[in-house]
Amino acid sequence: MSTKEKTWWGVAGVAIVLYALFPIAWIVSLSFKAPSALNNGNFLPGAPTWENYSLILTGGASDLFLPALRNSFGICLIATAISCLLAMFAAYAIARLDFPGKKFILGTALAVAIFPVISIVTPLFNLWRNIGLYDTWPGLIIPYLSLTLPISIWTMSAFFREIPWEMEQAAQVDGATTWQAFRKVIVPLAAPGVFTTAIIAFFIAWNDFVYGISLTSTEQARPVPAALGLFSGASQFEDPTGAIAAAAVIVTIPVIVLVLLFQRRIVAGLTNGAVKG
Amino acid sequence: MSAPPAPAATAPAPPRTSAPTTGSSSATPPRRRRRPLRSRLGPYLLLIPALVPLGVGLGYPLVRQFVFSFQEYGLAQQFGRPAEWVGLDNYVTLLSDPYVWGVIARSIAFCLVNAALTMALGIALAVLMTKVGRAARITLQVGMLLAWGTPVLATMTVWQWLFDSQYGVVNWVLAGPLGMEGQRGHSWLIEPLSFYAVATVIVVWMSVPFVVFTVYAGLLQVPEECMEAAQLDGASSWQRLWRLALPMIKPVLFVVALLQVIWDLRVFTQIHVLQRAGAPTRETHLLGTYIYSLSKEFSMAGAMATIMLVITLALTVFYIRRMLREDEA
Repeated sequence: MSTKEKTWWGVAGVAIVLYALFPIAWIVSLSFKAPSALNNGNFLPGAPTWENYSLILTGGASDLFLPALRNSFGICLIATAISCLLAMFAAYAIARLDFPGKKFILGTALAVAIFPVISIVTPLFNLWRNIGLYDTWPGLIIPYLSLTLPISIWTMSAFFREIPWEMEQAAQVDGATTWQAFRKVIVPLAAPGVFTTAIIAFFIAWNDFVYGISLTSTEQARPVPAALGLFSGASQFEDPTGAIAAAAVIVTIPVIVLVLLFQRRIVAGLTNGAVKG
Repeated sequence: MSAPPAPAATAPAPPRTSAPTTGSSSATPPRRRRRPLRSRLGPYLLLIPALVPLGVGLGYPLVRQFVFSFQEYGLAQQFGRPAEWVGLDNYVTLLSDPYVWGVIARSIAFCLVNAALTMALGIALAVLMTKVGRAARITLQVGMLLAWGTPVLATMTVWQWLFDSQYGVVNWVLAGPLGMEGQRGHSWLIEPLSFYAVATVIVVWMSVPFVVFTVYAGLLQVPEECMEAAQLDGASSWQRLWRLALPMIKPVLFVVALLQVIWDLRVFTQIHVLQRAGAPTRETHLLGTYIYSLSKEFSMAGAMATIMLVITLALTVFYIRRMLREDEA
């Protein structure tokens, strides 16, 4: 490649990074602006202030934000853990064992991705009202499981297919039961795939908005994205944009941390299903 | 999709089948070729735990919603009045309403435009990723992962802000440095067409990263020798891309395009938030937000959801059939 060509590719690359990061950088900037400075059109806050953060963490909006943060973390972590455990069993069966109906199950897992979430919210709302799961943690964990399980099973079975299975047979020949071979040999080998799937499942649950606004009504279970929506309607602040931006920054922090630490794994997990499945 | 070499999984029975210990094995009919019941049930036992939450969280509501769509079910029934069967009435009401057809047409147009733009941009960026150095690639990757992973609601605050009519940066740039005075105070959300343009910018921004990663991973699997051979034969890099690399990763492109169409058809959050930011709701509804607006009329929402499902299937059946055919080949 000539130097000139290289320069052009470089310029294009920089432009794309800016394009990808610009909105995120802008939220950070907004979150440090005082309400009076919000509209001055400058990108950088002239006089950075923690005002917005103290408003949502200790001030007037903390009643709305802090419980939401607790709910989001609790619900998403539990949903991710359960989803990974269940997907692990299912993916093992799909990648490793041969049984009638296997193709059908993988096909269903893909078909499930087709169903628009928004269309099943209403009946779920109804059911939850009747059995008392409305506005509770399990009431969100179960739908999050149904959201994350198909993709978890899909990704994980793609990972599992690449595990050297002879090791398991060797263990079985040595007298281990199927279960022992699974737990002692396969689980350690499968850990990277499971971990990657966990990150993706967490992202999906963390980003959910539809279930959050439809299946909760109080701070008992309302997650952050749904609470962010309420900020704008509330009248207790003059202009909620700064507070929303600060809350948005806080919910984005876990995502940024995970991305920076595990970017290669996440990309591998995202592409594994489509490329190798 | 080329399946990895068939794993040893397909080999018949694990060694321990020969031990006729468990009582259940005696119950096995002989034609089942001496696999004990436990090992035949094993796979299903492993699947059931995952199927239970899927059934409750997805299966039940889907069936229920489908049943609703044939009933008269609204708030009155919610409070105990028995639901009456009305057959296809709900569908007739919806499908004889020109407004509903408008929503459907808009949704399909929005979905196709967005999916096409996303694919084009995504493929271009994936090619770019193969051309730049390692450091640049990681930077690109991190940037795009952030765009992909940031909670939709969080980024929506900014987008709303950028397109704000009074203080928005977009208007400011257009009116100031670019000298388009008419743009000062221009509202982007009032006109349906510019509303959709804004929504397209946002939706494409969020969906491109996934396409990039997947297509890039696909491009990496194109054997180096093929590309070199083509180069020796005098193919330009453009030709190598269009005639060689992209056709070779067609299965990957198919999957990604299919998912994009599915996702873009059911877009909800972005539209919903933009509507709340001050757009005329009725004129800007897409299928997702329209169903949401019907959610108090259970039977209508159910019927509309079923219609949406049919549209999704109609849009994707071509892809799915093609994918299955290539899978067998």
